[in-house]
This record gives sequence, structure tokens and C-alpha cells, in this order.
Amino acid sequence: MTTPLLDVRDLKVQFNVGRTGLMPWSPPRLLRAVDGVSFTVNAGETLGIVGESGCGKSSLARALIGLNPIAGGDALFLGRSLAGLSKSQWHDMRADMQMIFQDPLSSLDPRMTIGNIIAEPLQAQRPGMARAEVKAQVEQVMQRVGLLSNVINRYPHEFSGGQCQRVGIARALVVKPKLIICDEPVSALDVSIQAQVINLLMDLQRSDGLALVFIAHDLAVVKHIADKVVVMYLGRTMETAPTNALFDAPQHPYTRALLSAVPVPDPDIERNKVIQILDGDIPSPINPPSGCVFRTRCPLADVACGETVPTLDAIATTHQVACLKVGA
Amino acid sequence: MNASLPALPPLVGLDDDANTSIAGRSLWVDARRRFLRNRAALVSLCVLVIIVTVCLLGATLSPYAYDDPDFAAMHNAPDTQTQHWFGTDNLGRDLFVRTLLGGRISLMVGALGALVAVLIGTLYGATAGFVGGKLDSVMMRFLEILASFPIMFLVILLMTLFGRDLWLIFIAIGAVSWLDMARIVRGQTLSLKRKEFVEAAHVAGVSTARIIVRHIVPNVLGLVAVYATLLVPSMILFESFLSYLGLGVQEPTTSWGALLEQGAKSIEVAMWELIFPAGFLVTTLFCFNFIGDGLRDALDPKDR
Amino acid sequence: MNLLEVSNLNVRFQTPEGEVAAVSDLSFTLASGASIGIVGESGSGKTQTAYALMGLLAKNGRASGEVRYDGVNLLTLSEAELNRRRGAEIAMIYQDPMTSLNPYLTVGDQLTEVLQFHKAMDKRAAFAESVRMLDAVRIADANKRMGLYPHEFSGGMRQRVVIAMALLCRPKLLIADEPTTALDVTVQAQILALLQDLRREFSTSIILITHDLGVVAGVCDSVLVMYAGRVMEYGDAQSVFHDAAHPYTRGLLHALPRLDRAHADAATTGGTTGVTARLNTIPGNPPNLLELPSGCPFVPRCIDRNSACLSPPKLENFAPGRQRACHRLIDELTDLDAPLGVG
Repeated sequence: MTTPLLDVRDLKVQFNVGRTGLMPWSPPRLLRAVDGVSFTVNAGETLGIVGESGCGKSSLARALIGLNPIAGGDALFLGRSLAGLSKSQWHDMRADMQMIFQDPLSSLDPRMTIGNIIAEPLQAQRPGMARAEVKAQVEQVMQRVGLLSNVINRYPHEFSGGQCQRVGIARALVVKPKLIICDEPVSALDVSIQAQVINLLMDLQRSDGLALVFIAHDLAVVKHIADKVVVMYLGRTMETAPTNALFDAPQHPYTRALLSAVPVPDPDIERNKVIQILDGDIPSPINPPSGCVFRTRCPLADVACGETVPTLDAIATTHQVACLKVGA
Repeated sequence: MNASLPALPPLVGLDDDANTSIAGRSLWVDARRRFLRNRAALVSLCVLVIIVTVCLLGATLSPYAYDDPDFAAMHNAPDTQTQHWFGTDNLGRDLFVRTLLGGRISLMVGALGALVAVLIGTLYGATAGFVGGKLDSVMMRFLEILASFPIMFLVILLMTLFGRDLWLIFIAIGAVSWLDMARIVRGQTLSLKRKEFVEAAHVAGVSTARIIVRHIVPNVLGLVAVYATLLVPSMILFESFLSYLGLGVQEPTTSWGALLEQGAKSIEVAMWELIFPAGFLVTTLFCFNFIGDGLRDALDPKDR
Repeated sequence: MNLLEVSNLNVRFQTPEGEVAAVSDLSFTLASGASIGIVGESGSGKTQTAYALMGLLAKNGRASGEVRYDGVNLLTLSEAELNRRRGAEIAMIYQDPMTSLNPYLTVGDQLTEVLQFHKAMDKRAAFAESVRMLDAVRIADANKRMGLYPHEFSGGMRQRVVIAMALLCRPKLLIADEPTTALDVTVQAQILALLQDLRREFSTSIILITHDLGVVAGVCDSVLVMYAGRVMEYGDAQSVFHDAAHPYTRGLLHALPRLDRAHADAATTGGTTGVTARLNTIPGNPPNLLELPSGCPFVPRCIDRNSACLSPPKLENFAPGRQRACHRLIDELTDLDAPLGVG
């Protein structure tokens, strides 16, 4: 097997949130947003990361692109470690790795024209490039994402959410990266526009051999776009598998509950299905439960789950589950 | 047309999207349109332009100089015959010329305060906010120390030590004017720093200096403009206050505040000595406040 | 007997850019204990419909037409009479629970206040009833939690508190405006199940306003699909979901990625060769209410349009209990379920 494009190994992301004591020298209180997550992404592959709010999926995405520091573990991109990179090293790395943000409008500077916004990564990465060349490349990428070139001098507030997200995608594409991190790229869009953007991403990915890390809370979207999926809960991986295996035969009780909760636009299915309601709420990541982090809401949990932290074990070659009750 | 969309059947009578205008409306253009629609602000702007022009050029119309005493014409009422249009003061000096001179000084003080605030305050605030961390803490503590300093006491001390001097007033005003501006800009920068478009610039590989120049500064500029406009009248008032206490400009130079002080003393014998400078001062303050409000509404329509 | 009969509801806003028709000629009926889903995307007028029903339009907005609730036209009622019905007989839940909760008062105070105001209960009875209602919305330790402030609850719990508050006076009509949009799916499932139970228990009629067709499918008896302030299609949920009769409804249903459908790549390999598994899309952008076309508002994005569509279509009955606004015959519409031609 070839080396993966992105190889994430036991990655940890932590934040200091105040101190454990009153004194300024008391040890800091740690919020473990991501607590040991591993996965690989190959060239041209889409990895979906799903989970509910507070599961750490966004912190993970931001750590991969250098917006959050990596607190532990490592992530190898093109064989180079992303942990402890200097500013200039990150600068070079970003020619191959870009990001698409959740909020289409607020991720565009309101005082810059569409053309300048899209050109910005190009100018930052290739400072010597001639103006005419920059403009030509911007127009080319605009055409690819479905923006007419006559809007190049317009401002973001003159566009709808879907068009703004196309601008965001164009900005990510313009440096011809190998990997794009997508942090909930369609969740702020209307249904009819969401489909356009999903199709666009899939088209671009196929034609360019792009790899995507696709973060979303909408499982149906992830099922549609991803090749394999990581299910996260409270900073840990619960289950990871190729998309079909995960959606056809979910193993972890959390994955099952999550899938059963997604409403399907069909009254017959929706009214007759048995939803596995999870009681309670997601615990605080500052003070996570002992043992398995999901045990406080898990229908299968027993005493053992509070004592042992389940490891991510393979139940098939590519299907891994972190649960003491599965495959035991 | 984008390949990922199904083709629509052509339909005559429906505008084609490709023919829409090419130039965009920037936020500044939008703001100017909204400002021009605000009648109070527009009238204020016109009045202010007139006042400034008169203050700068009006004195040449009068045959009198600002420091010409005429002991034969003390406390004379306004009179077109003698060309003392605003009357004379206790030394028989022409009040028209003196009011305009006072206006020049007052407006200069206001403008200077705003300028210092914009330059020092914006830079100081943006740096503290963007760099953050320890530097931010140190810079903010320093600012707090300055802000809690009894500035009145300092001015009185300086006056007694060095005598009354216009420069001392400028220094005093410069020292206080930028503090609030720095705080405001810092707050705005902090919130901008967390905006997704600034993160997007980081991800694009844009350098910190360039992010400040291209993303942070243009986005705080509107707020700075509004606050600077509103700062001018408060600086003018501050100077008037100093002058009224007798700590202001040195005779025979004058300012609106100094004229008010004299006018108030002779209010029973010569009403005009108070009314004219006061009228100018109040009108100017009103104008600046209306313009500032107008700018704020124009630049940030959501905040209304 | 219908609890609510809305006929020809129009909502207009005066803006500096001109008059905006947020809702045009909206009509529907809602029986006692029934539930209707109002579905639409941004700019569809679904939220303004709710505000108009509640008499909560912004100052520059005006509603005309008729909203008959229990035989009384709500639009002509005085503010005082309206206030008496709001909260007591008609309640509303918003997307953001903090809209209806005061952060400076305990949940208990806010709940008992409602009962003391509308039902003139004494404090102790109001407290007991509030605890019972918190139990009903499945908040554990209700008695203890009465003393907590809203920020001490999680998002899902807060929405449950708001639902409890809305149901305290046993309203006959509950208007829920995107009640689960800000919540996670597992919490959404809890809230939707709760709404269903409460509807059965108290026989409350529900108007559910949402952009999520899946939510409507599970909760609503009938569906109203809106676009640019107009009704595109109206009917019982079964027919609208299984046999949509308007190009917009069809496009919307097919634009959704679905969990009950096969994964994209599986379709590619297992289905017709050469067909890329892609979502059906509705081309174009959301409507700009200031620049609507003179005919059918959906015409700039409609794949089934022809020259007839340049005049406005009427909302007409085409089957028992079903209405749609479209010039084209149902048989003429593109069948999105048919396999795409190999391109």
C-alpha cells in the first residue's frame, strides 16, 4: 500500500480553560477537545468526520490546518509532521492543504471584491506571479466553481449564501491543493443550494484527484459524499469504517443511536421506525466520564464500562469499533 | 454555466444573468448612499463646512484685528455702521474677529485631538488586540494607569510651572484623547481576529503584517471614523472647560471657551458677548454629533 | 370543526428599497389536534407567516386577509384581546430557546409567572403545576431544577423548558418555528418524540415551521410547501412526499441526500454504468423578494417551465384535499425518479 496523503496518529488537541485552583500558579484546567484520534486519508479520498456539537470534530479540523495547536500525537501530511511547525513551514504547507469554512458570508472579507478574495492565497503562495497571470487563474477557477467572470469586481454582500460558498471553494482551489479540509461546508445553506455545492465538491474532487476531510453533523450528507467515516464522541473515535459498512451495519451503540435519530423525508418510514432515544446530554469535555466516555448515555453500559477505556478494535480489516460490548 | 446544474428550458422574457452589471457596490459606496439619505447629517455637514470656511476666511472681511483694543467702544452692541457686526468686548476689541479666531483655535484643538486619537489610538489598540498575550496585558495596564491619572491636576500643575501656553493644551488633550479610541479599536480587533475571513487568510498563508493591513485595518476604519467625528466635539468641550477655568489659551489669543468665560462675566451689560461665541460653539457641537451619528448609521446599518 | 382557518393571508413590509411581499395569498385550515408543516427555504415567508398569525410582525409589516381562530379573526383583534389568547390559547416556540427565556430569572419563576398571569393561580398551585409540566417534558428532578437559571441547562433541556412553558396553559394551538434546527440529531429526536406525545396527550394542534423535510415527514399530517411567499403545493403528508405534484417540491425532495438510499459509489457500481451518482439540484439562487418575476416566482429555477409560466399560476385543487400552483400538467413534469440519460 502506498503511503497515505494524511496520516493522523493519536492526535490530541487541548485548551486551557482557567485553572484548577484559585492561585495563578495552580495547574491549568484542560479541555481535551480531541483525545487521541487516528485515521488516514489517501489521495483522492473523502473522509467524513461526524458527531454532535462538542465532539471535537471542528477542533480536529482546525488543528490539521494549523489554526489550533497540536497538543499530542502527530499528523503526517505528505510524510511531514504537522506538529510543531514554524510559521514559514506552515506557509509552505498551505500550498497543498486548504480549508472551506462553515459560514459562507463571514468567511469572506466584506471589504474585498470577489476577485481579490480568490486571488489572496495565490498571491501569498506565489508572490512573484504577474498580475495578468493571477487574474487569468482566478477567472479560470471561478468558471470551474460556476461563477460568471463578470462578477469578479463584486462584493460578498451582493451574493446569496450558495454563491458565497462557491467563492470560498474557489479560494481553496486556486492554489491547486492536494487536500481540502471542509468544516461543515453545506450546513448553513438551503436544501436546494446544498445539493449544488455537494455536487460541485464531488465533481471537483473527481476531476482533480483531491482528498477531502469532510466535517459534518448531517449524516445523510456524509453518507453521500464520503468514502469512509469516523464517528466521534467527546473527543474520541467511537467507530470508523468504509461508508457502506458503517451505514449498513453500524456496530457501536452511539453510531446506531445517531443513525436512527436522523429523520428521513418519507412519512411511511419515519412513522414506523424505532428511534433509539439517547437519554441526557453530552457530558462536559472538561470532566469526561471515566472509562468509556459514552457510557453515561449508552443503553448497553454496565460497571465494566466505567472502569476500562475501550480500545479501537478491528472487527473487519477496515472496520474498527471502540466498545467493550461489541465483538466481545 | 456550471456543468453541475441541469439545463433550463430557454424562456423569452426572462432576464439573462450574464447581462447584470459588472461593477460591485462596495460597503463604502453603500455607506455613502445611506449617509446622503440622512437629512440631519447632511444639513449638519453643510453647516459645519460653512462654519469652518467662515472661521478660516471670515476675518479678512472685517477692518479690525483680533487684538486691537478700542477704549472708546467698550461693550458696544452689534452695529453694522461701525462694522462691529457682533459688537465689542470689555476692551473694545471686535467680537466678530475674535469669535472667528476662537473658532480656529477650538476647531484646531478638536481636530488635533481626533488626529492624535486616530493615529496613536488605532495603532496602539490594533497592536494590543492582534498580538494579544503578554504584550496586550502590559499595553492595557499602561493605558489604564494613564486613564486613571487625574488629568485636571496635571494640567494645573503644568500651567503653574510653565505658564499658559497653547502647546500645553495640545499636549494635555493629546494625552487623554487616544485612550478610549485605543480601547475601542482593541475590542474591535479582538472580535475581528476570530472572524472566519481572518482565519481564512491565515490558512491561505498570508503574513501577519499583511493581514493587519488588508483585513483588520479596513474593517476597523468605519468605527474609527465614527468615533473620531464624535471625539472632536468632546475635545472642543474639554478645551472650553480648561479655558473657562482660566487654564486655557493666553490672551490676546482666544478660543470659544475663553470667550464664553468673558461673556459670562459681562452677561448683564453685554448679552452679545456670550450669545455669539456660544451660538457658534453649540452649533458646531451639534453638527459634529449629527454627522457622527449619521456616519454610524451609514456604516453599520444593523446597529440601529 | 377547524380550529384555524387562514384565508388569503398577505404580509407586506415597507422597506427603504420598496414594498416586499413576504407572504402572498396563503390559505390553509388546521383541525383540532392536527398538525401541519410549513416547509420552505430562506425567503419563503414561512417564519413571517408564523409572526403574522401571532400578531408579532415587525413595525414596518402589515398583514391582511383573514386568520379565523375558533371563529374569531385574529387580525382584527385589539392588542389586549390578542394578548389574552397569546400564551394561553396560542403558544409559540422559537428556534433559539433563549428568545423566550429571561436569563436573570430562575426557570421556576418564569414558569409559575405564566400560570399566575393567565390562569390566576396562586403561587403554590402554579409551582406544583409547573413541576408537573417539567416532568411531562421529561426533565428529571423537575422539583430541584425549578430553582436553576436558564444558562444552567443544556441546549436541548432549554428547548424542553420552553416547550413546557408553552404548554403550561394547555394551548389549543402551538406554533413551532424551527424548534430543533439548533439542536443535535439525537436531541432533535427527543424533542420531536416529545412533541408527538404531548400532541396526543393534550390534543394540541401544531404548526411546525421548518426547512427540514425529514422532520415534517415524521410529525405532520399535512404539508404546505412555500416558495417566495407563495404556496406551491398543499396536501396530506403521504401524497406530498410520495407523489409530489409541483416541480419545486419534487426538486426539493430529490435534492436531499438520504440515509435510506444507497451510497453514491454503490449506486455508481451497482446501477447504470457511466451515471455519476449525484444529487438532483434546483439550479439558480434563492429568490430575491424585491425582484420577483411577474409570473410564477419559481420560474427562474424551474426545469419544467414554458411560456405559460410567465403569468402567475393559481393555487388550485387537483385531487381531493390537494392543491398546487403550477401551469403545467402533472404528467408533463420531469420525472426525477427515472434514471438519468447517459450523458
